[in-house]
Amino acid sequence: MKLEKVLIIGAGTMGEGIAQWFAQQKVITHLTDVNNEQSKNALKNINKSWNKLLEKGKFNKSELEKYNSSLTTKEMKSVDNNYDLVIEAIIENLEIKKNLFKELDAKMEEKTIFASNTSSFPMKDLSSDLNSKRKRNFLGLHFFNPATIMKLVEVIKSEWSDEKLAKDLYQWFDSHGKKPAVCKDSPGFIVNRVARNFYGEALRITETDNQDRMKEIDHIMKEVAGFRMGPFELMDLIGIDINYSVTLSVWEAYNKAARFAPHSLQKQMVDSKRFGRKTTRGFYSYE
Amino acid sequence: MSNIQIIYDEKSPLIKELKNSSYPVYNEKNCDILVDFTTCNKNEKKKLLSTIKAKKIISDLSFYDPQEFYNEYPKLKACFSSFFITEKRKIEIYYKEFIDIKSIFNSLETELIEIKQLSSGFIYPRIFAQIVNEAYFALGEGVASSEDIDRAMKFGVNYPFGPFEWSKGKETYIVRLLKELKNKTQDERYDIAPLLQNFDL
Repeated sequence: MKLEKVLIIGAGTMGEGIAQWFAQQKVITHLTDVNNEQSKNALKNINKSWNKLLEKGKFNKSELEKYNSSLTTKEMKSVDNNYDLVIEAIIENLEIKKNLFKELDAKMEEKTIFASNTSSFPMKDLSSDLNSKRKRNFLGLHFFNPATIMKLVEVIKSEWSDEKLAKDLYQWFDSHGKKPAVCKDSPGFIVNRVARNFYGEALRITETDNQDRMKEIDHIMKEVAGFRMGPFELMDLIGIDINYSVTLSVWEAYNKAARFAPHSLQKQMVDSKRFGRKTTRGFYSYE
Repeated sequence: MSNIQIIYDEKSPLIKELKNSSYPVYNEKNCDILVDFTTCNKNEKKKLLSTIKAKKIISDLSFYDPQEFYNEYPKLKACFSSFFITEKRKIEIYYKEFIDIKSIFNSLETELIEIKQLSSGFIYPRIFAQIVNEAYFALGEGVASSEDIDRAMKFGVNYPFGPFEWSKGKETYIVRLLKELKNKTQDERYDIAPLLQNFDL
């Protein structure tokens, strides 16, 4: 498989990171957003990041020139129609995403692979309005933040996705330094599902808003189990509101199975706007 | 100077180190402190603790509700959880009464990390068991292969190991811990994944 030209739609944190990573693979990368300013800001951020990495000696000037020449921003209305791959990383809204894919379906060449970076919607729902050939060329490519550093890409097959396409993409990412994992189109895919109890069980052990107990749990998970961060520190970093929202979405998708049930302490934190580091208070205080 | 003795079985996770230990194996005579590394089931463990003639007992309660044992066995002065030990070789311990047993654990190339509050399965084994259980649910539903699940958890969220490579050979004991948690809480969140139930001996 050859991926020579890709389009990343959505220049938020994820889209920016994905575009940077593809440019670093020397793939011609176009980054676009409904808000053109957003794309320009993303490009500035990427350039800042590259200059820092250059200073640190992570790559040389000639490599930086290649990365720079690989990446350009485009206005939505002026994107090309001959990409090998289009990755959507826009707002998590099913209708907006579906409409975007429908518009792209009419515009793009038949060969173009469509992918979504969604963490919440089934591929089946996102691709249901597309023509049958495109449905075979549609799958999820779920990157993890920061996309330039985190090696995992979940390759999510819908019931219509071409088996060979998933295998080819797996190999392509594998040969470009990522660690891909193929999975079925099911709620939470792999990570957002299997990781739920890292938080959920820790919350059940502590039960109440007891900082000493949380510190103890974080300490044990780092010191004894070898995790880089404990569950409470990590929830504070991710955002308790975001973590709670993922928990609710997975719990509902699995018919409110007890093992995914949110804990009352999560709701209590969200209700009192203790979201973690970003609000200076979460399970811990950062004031 | 207290006479410290040890007891273990072939499935003890530190078996190699225990076999080479300079500490004497429990012989009923003059035992001040017994450090119990056995992995037997709950009834066998209770039977063992009730027959031991040591003055004080420190026991591996990796799969059980330690409070239940403390209530039944006044000689039990501390409990630890060594069964799911990782390469960090650190072990959770809870002291009802402090007894300095650091040297014995150091001699087994391990380090004790004290916890101040107790819960069934302590902290790390309990969270570990639930992560592994969910990985087995996902595997059973054909979400991904065990290799892909391991890779996803290591490279997507920086887990030190994938749940399958982490639990290899310990599945029976994870089932034992989940059963204990279900029994104690009656909460369906501890229902065991069908594929993991195959390891229920």
